[in-house]
Amino acid sequence: MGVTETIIIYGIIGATVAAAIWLSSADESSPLDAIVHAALWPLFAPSLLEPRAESKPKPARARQRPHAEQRVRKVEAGLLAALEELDGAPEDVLRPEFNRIRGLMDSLDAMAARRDDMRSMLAESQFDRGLAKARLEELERDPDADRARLESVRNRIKHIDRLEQMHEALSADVDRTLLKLEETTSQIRLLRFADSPAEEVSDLVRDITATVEGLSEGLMTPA
Amino acid sequence: MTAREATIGMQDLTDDSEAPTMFELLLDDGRELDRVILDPKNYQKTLRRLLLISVLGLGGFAALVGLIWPASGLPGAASGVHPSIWAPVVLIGAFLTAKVVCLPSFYFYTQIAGLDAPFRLIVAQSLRVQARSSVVLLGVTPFYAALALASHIDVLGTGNTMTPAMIGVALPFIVGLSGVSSLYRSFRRMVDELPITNESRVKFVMGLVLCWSAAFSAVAPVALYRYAEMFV
Repeated sequence: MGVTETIIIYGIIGATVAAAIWLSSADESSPLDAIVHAALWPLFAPSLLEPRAESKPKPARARQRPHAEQRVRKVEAGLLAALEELDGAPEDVLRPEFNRIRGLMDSLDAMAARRDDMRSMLAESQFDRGLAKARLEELERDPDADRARLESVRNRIKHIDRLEQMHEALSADVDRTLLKLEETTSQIRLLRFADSPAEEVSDLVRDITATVEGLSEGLMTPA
Repeated sequence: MTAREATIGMQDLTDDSEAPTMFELLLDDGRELDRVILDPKNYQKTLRRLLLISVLGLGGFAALVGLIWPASGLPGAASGVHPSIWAPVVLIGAFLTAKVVCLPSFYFYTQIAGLDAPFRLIVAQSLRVQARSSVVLLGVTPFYAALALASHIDVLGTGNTMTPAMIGVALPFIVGLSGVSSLYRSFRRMVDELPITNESRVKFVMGLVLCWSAAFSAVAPVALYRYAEMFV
């Protein structure tokens, strides 16, 4: 292939790249810019291969969370929407924060699922405190009652008490976390007016992630 | 100007007189230039500005070299087209061609070094090196002009007119070291922001920059020779 053929093919590819850049950013390119793009297309072609920064990124959808209550889904959607509204932070910087928030919501979802499990267990007759207390009183009134059975019912009541305490503590933690997340959402929305929103967003998200991770670890450690 | 543009650091460089120009950013060579280069929204505008500065710097210097070329007695001194016209074409064409040829290598060296930089960043950084070198070259041009004038009027009485022309050919490469050091400092700063794929590599930024320099140093002289052959 001679020089002439090379120049022709170079020119065709250059014209294609220049046209593609012009189509993707019609309000910015001037004819001179188009000539530069066509003449030096190897330098400008990579910009066509990456996702456009001007177009809105795909909306970050909240995952389907069968266990989460309405409030968790709403908070997640609000937080992700607040991050999307941030114009000043580059997409490369925000992407890890989206992932971190999803991880955070997975942890919160797990906490909410545990709380719901506890609530379901407490609704069963086996964990009904009133029934267990009534049974204990009945056995205490009976002089022929077996000590082992008495002990068993007393232990069952202790377990029910423990389960109720855990349920209350977990509910309070979930509520507290959701409130913190709602507060963080409003803070992130204010960051639109900050000079370096990316850094502050990272700090905020790291802060809330550490809180939720601490709570999750507390649940896993045995009493 | 909207409130968004007024408060965010990444301002459009054309519509605010208080925002630093690309020339000032290159002279300063700090984090602000890194932010401009990393910003995907103004990527094409950034590239055009870096290209413009590169072309102006190389072209201006090459035109000066072309002015003294006829007196040097080197090949091309008596060609049909005056050297002050073909010298800028040769220098700009050679350096930009070498940049384009080396881009894939730059990208792979960066990946091998463990830095997951997008290809557009590689392009922007390579043009940054050239633009920075061109800015320094513009600064060196008056000194070179003095040297060229002195040899033209034979101040030292040596009758040597070839050396200034040879120095003129070598100077863009020597001054290019300032672009390389700018690249090194820039990547050192970006290490905190870009994803790292292999954390075990020690001093990988130094190795990365040396590879970039070696690749360009191998290709650019060849490109320069081939372009010059068209006119010599």
